[in-house]
Amino acid sequence: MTIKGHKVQFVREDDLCTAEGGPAAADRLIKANVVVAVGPICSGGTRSSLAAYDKAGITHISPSATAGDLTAPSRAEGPYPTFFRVPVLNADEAREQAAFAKTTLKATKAFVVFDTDDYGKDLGQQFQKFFKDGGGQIVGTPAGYEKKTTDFKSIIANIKAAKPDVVYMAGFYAEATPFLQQLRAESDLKSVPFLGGDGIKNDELISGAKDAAEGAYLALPGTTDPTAFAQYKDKYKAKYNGNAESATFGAEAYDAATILIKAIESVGKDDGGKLTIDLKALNEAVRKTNMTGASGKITFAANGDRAGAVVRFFQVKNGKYEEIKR
Amino acid sequence: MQPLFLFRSAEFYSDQFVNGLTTGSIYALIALGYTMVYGVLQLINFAHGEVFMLGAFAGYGVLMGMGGDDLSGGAVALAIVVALIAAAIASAAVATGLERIAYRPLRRAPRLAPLISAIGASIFLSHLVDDYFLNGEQRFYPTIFPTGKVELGPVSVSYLQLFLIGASLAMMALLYWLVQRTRHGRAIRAVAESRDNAALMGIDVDRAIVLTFVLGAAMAGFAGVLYGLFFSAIRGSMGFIPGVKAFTAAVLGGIGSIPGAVIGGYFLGLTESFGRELLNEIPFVNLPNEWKDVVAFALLVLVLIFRPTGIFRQKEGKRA
Repeated sequence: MTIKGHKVQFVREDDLCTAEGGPAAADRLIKANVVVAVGPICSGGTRSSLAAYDKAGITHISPSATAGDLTAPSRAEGPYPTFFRVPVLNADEAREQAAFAKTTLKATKAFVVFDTDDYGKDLGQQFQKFFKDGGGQIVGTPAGYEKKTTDFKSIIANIKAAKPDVVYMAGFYAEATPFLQQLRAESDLKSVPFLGGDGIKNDELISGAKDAAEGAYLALPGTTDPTAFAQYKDKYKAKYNGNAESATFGAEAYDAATILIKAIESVGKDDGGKLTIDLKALNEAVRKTNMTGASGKITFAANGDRAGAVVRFFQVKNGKYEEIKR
Repeated sequence: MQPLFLFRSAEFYSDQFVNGLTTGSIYALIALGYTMVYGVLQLINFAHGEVFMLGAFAGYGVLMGMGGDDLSGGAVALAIVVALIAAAIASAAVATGLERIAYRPLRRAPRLAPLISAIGASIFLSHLVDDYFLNGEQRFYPTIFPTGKVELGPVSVSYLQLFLIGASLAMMALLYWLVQRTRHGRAIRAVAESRDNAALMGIDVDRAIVLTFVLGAAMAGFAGVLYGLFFSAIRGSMGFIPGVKAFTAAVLGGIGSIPGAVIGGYFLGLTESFGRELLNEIPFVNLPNEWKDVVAFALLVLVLIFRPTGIFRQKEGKRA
């Protein structure tokens, strides 16, 4: 691969997905004189190496680090300008869900049920924040449950007493299935809207909960542009003979690399046989990204998060997910 | 209707009461197997939770084979009865196999050996189902039980809960009658009292022990089907938590005692559904749902401090 006639050299370092490995890998990359980097992959390794990349002025895009504080670090200068990321965050999903509950479902009182793992806890808290900011009220005490829970009767008695307009669940379909069945078995709660997220939107939910899944609302963030994703999928198959869908964050990594290559193309100057790249200008070019990649439309917010993330909503109707136009 | 001293409605507390009775029934049915086996062998049969799980799957197989979600009317009642019987037979067969393979060869070994064997069997069975047969997925019982509920003032009980509680009580009564009033039951009680003396009296000790496993397992099999009908989701690891809870219930009631296991089961079910909720009535206390078990088990520790042998004290040599 070449940019303006110059061969692109790839350097690969492994941070072991650890906080300790992050700065070490960054140091090796910087010493190898890289101009940009795709990564780090994990939030822990990203958090510990942000400062190193920033000091060297190396713009890097993570395809997968989703921790909230990465783009809101606790330092006076604010977010690191050299850091961007492609994944759609829990906050984006929760913000859209809160707006959906308020405007489409006309709900003012929500009851929150969440998986006690990092994902469920974070998504549940983000939803509460956005729902309250939008003037809504969280009724009852948000109820956490552990994975593999099947007995939701006690939580449901609390929901019944709290009389919410919407039951919000942050978790996975394995638990949402028995939850919905038990919720709908309660005659007072037969028609209260149920709103869930990407962890719950799965065909298994419908095949397991059957009638109880009818009417459930589910959000799906990080929508893929069908044509752009199909192109990426074909290229992936041709190159690696594998299924792109099974490579989690694969589309995001592909997009991160694409953004960086395009930025180099736009700012790189041929200077008597040498390609000069102004790192500041490169950073600005990345910041102005506006493209439709394999993972959908990508623009960046001021803090480096992916902005304008599209969150689509679906409702289960006659045993199928039907997209709701908002 | 607002009770005088509580913030939440009587309806809320009656709901929780019925929920407590429901889970309590399931704990009690499983606890019987722990307590009976302990009574005759002084063995904690840790694989009993998996016996319960396999009963749930046997019942699931029968219900799906008889039509699954398409069942209606009288066929539902028939299917549930057949499922209960099939589950009891399957669980009894598994427990007999366990006794033969995992426990009998170790009967004269130090007491820790069969315990380790039991833990091994438990892990083997739950992973066999989860990883080999189901690939980590779960299965769902068909929702065929008639919906609707009986209302009595603030108390509302669904038909399914009524059936679950009633059926559990009937099965426990049947077990009690078998152990107390029949010749086979007398043999079990004799072995529990003294294995050597029972043998001298001409009682087939091995048979009495197998019968103990069979009866306990049948109760767990029933519990498995009732659990599936009520909570719907079943998986290979589903026996672990109810197993630990039922074992706790058996200890709480006084391990070795049949009435103790039943009382212990209901006590644990009710403290789980009530404990946290009542504490939350105290001003400025707001324990989240995750604290449910913490409160229930804290109470359990308290009970055991004051009654170390459980609610029903068992005199040494007078178990089962």
